[in-house]
Amino acid sequence: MLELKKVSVSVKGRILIENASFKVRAGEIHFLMGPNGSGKSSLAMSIAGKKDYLVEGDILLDGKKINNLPPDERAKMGLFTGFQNPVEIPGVNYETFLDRISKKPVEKDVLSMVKNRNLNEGFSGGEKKKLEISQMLLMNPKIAVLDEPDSGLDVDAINRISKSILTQSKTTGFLIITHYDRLLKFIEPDFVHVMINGKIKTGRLSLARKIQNNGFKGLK
Amino acid sequence: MKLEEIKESNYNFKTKSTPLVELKGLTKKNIESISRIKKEPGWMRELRLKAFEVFKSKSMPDWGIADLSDLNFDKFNYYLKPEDQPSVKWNDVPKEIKKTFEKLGIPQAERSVLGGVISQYESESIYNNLRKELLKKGVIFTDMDTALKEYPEIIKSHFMKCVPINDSKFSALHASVWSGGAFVYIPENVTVELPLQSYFRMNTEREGQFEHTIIIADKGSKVHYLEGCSAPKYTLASLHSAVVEIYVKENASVRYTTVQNWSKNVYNLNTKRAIVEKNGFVEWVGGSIGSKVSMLYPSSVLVGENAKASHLAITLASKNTLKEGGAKVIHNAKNTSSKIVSKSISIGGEAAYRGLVRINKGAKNSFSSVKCDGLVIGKNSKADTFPHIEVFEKDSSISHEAKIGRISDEELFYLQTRGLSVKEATSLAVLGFMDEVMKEIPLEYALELNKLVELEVQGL
Repeated sequence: MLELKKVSVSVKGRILIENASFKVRAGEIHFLMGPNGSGKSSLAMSIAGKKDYLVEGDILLDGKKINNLPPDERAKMGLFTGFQNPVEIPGVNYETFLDRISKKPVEKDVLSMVKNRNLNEGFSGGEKKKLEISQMLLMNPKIAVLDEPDSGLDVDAINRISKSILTQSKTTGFLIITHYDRLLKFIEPDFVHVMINGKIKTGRLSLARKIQNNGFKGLK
Repeated sequence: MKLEEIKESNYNFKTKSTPLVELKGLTKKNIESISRIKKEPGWMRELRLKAFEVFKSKSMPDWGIADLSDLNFDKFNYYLKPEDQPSVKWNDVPKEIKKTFEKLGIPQAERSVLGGVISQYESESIYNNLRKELLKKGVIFTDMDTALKEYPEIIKSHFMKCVPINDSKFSALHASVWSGGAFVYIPENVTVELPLQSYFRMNTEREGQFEHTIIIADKGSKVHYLEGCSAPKYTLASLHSAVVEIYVKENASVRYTTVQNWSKNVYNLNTKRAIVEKNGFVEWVGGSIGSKVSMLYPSSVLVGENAKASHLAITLASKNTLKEGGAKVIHNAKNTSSKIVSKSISIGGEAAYRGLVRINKGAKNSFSSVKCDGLVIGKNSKADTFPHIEVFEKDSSISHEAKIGRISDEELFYLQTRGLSVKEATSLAVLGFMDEVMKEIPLEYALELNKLVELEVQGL
């Protein structure tokens, strides 16, 4: 379980997130929605442990405070972070990389996609996104924080990654950042958090529907 | 960095008995003794003495990143008679070195060889079988002393002809005290399929750190020559100054691969050059892993139309080392082309690319591309590039690309979120950086280079 207790985040003195509190249990799917620049990605990066993100309050993974742990230890405890724009790492063979990180054998279709390719290098935006999901499945995390897994994907691809997420959600808790309602057609979240100017409002599916109809304006 | 900083004791193998012949110090008398002991012809003796005069007249190169001013030439051994070499017991090999062997996963038997304890009998027999096959084709592959006795005319007309004695202070030093090395001759239109390895030769020709190699690839022939050792090589001498001369005749092709992993008390100052004739092709592949100071710039002189050169080098500058690598290409004929790719990794040391590409007047329609990348890791690490480009022919073109950088925080963070520690992530990214060159290095050397990088990163 991932738990945020009164989490505030600042970068170089600028406050990005104020007082966020919620829990993501195994088997639950949470959406984190909100307009551009509202702090959604910053929250994902804070949970992952990125440098320069100063966190106050507690981020707990299975009851253990992880605020001060390096990103790799958080990952080893079962946290996965899916990136919005995965960085390209030249020369690092994708297959070798997958062997290093996976807990399961790598499926054939993933292998054929990455064969003789380097980590994220030269892949299209959509391919990178699909591979983030593949990595998540291979690492079989307790908690997966996915930053806009749907952006840049066509409807068929969104359908496919949604199925993967739904299957994996039997054991994994998901916090999915999205500002499209397209994902809602395929996945019904258990909880919806809306972030506006760094502040979080939590609700159920109906909150997402409200945003779908009226946008974020009505929530201010 | 001063010579005194080196812990001599780390490399001082205890010897069982004192060598019968030990020529310490750089004197005319010692040079004459080398020539006498080796029963050389008069011309070689004269060449040595002439070279010694040139050596004395030349000043020390002062343009490199390393300060050579305190190299004391009288401290070194210039010749040890092979049979009387110090025999080293496994127990005498320093712990640190043994540990490195273990970490590298080198089998016990091989560790002994590499530690200088025993000679490698098995390789010797493999080599002998190979030699029979080659002899049938007319290939000559022998040590330089034998070559001097059996092929005096060929040696006389090629020795220090590609690299002139007065090329630099160190080429002159080499010519005056050289011993050991190999001679390779590939007859017209003969292709040698397997790489010729000097590794086997090194075991019997251990005496000199001033080995001389001559490779002649006759018209239409093809050969891959591989020189090096697959693990740290520990020697008594701390100055290594070899010369390699390669003659690539019309339509011939030579690939010269060298991987050096000298111990960190060695000054590695070599001169390597190829003269490439019409339609000829020379390929230099180099891995510079060890040594305290290295200065090495393989050169290609393209003298015939359509001659080509390719230089590929990877340099690792670990803690407290100064490593210069680079290339020199002189375009002297029409339609010649060259490609230089140099990658350096500084982990606690300083690496520099120094290169020269010159396209002379008349070398019309010639092309050269230079790419040098430096990766800097950790504190006290440094990388530089010093490219020199001289174009005297309008109808020609050069492209140059240089990059020096660190592994980005974004890359490290991404890898960390996949459960890799900073060190694991760093070595993965370093290996990625080296990938382009690693593909061209023989597998066993590439694997070892991988492991060494991981060791260096772990030590950060």
